[in-house]
Amino acid sequence: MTKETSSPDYSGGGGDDWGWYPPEGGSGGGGTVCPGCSWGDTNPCEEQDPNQPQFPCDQDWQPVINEVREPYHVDEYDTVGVGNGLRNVYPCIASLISDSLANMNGVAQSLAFNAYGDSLYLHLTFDTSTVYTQQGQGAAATTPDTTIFIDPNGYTHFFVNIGLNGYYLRNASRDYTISTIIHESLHALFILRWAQYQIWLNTNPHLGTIDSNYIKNHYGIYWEYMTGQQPTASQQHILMANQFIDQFVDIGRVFYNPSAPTAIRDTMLTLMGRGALRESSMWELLPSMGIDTCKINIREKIALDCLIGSYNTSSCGSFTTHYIDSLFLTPPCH
Amino acid sequence: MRIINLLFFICLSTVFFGQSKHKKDFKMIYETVITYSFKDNPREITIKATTLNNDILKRNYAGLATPLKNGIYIGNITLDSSWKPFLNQADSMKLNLTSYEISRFKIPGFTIHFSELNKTSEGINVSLSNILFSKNRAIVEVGYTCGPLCGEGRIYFLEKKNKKWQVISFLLTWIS
Repeated sequence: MTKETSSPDYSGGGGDDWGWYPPEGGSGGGGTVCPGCSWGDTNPCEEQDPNQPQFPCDQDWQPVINEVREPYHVDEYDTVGVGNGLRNVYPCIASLISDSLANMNGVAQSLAFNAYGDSLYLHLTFDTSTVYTQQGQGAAATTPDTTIFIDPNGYTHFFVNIGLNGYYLRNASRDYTISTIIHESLHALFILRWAQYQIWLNTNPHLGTIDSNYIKNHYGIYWEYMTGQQPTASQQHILMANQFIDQFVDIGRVFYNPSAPTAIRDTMLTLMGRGALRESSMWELLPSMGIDTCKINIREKIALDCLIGSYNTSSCGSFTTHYIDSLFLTPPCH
Repeated sequence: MRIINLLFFICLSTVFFGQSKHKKDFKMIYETVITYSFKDNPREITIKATTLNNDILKRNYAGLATPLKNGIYIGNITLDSSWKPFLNQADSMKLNLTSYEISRFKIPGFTIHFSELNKTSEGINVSLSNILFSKNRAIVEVGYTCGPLCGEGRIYFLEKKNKKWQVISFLLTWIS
């Protein structure tokens, strides 16, 4: 961990020594977030009103969904639900999830759908957490139905509840909340894929399309995490921070303040995608990879607590920030 | 009145001695799952006692567990078919964790503190459930949080082999 003794520069820009991650070649291995978008250095959404819900590229874009067939059957589609706790107490976040997060299955599709053409059949329900309600507790928890199965029609049955900590909904920047939502949705995706692969392994003839080749192609050098016992939190966070960081940043870009310089925006999104590495075996390796863990810690704290002013930290020195001006973060949305 | 007192004493003794008879197993099971949960990074943890979310097991087993040729399939993990009778009567014996017992845990490489249920301490907060227990089978739930987006809960399935408790499999119940 690099120790900083003076106020570091958080203005972003080209001087950021641990780099930002331009969207070279589109959105990375999982397909494109919005067909026809050319990210380059220009956010195609910059013209949007930052006070309005953000859409990828334009409001006409819709995620690829299976053609609705009659009679309608929920298992044929990806769904996103918002619980009453969230809808009644935090309508801004509820609206963000239900209206602006591109149906979330668009997010999921950008992670997994396009390259292989298989649907997720992911059913996510967001609500306020009844377990995590205070500062210092988890920002969110994903609780999957522990048995995931594929029915004789080939539909995967998988339902997940994602509980968000009300304290952080009220106090964290909107960007941190969105980052948390993407983070938890990725957990749901990993759990689903692991289970689908287990089903494929344990059935004869095989059920489903998630086979060894799929896992190796999508999870790269981390494929072993998905083929043994259920991947641990630490393993899933390593997957997120390495194998899926480009997709994480791509999704986050759509919702970041459009007036933010691209370097600051992408650096912030990258660090939020890596913050969960803290308790993994990889955290201590980051400095040797040229990644300053102090910067991850401090910027995550700024995003989490919406800091304004000067602060001292025991291990990372002092820093000064105005979270809106310095990092172009957005105030809490609740 | 004396008969009632005597009966009460017998009941209390049965519960007390019934549990103390298994105290050694009880301690070994907890030590095994803590070591397993943090095997990559032994560290300082704070433990609190909770109750096993038995509903998860019941729901999975009663409704959705799939019989396989050589075992059963519960929550996408595979268990030997000899678990079937145990899961059917998994409520039969529960061992409860007390603060006194937690304070006596000694696991190499770990510094362990005890916490009241509703308090959150700095660092890693671990929740240990009571244990569903038979002579050579056990189920226990372990959860931990270590930051805003760091933590998970698991139900562990253990078997006793050669006088040692071993984790056979685990089921992820939540993740942060």
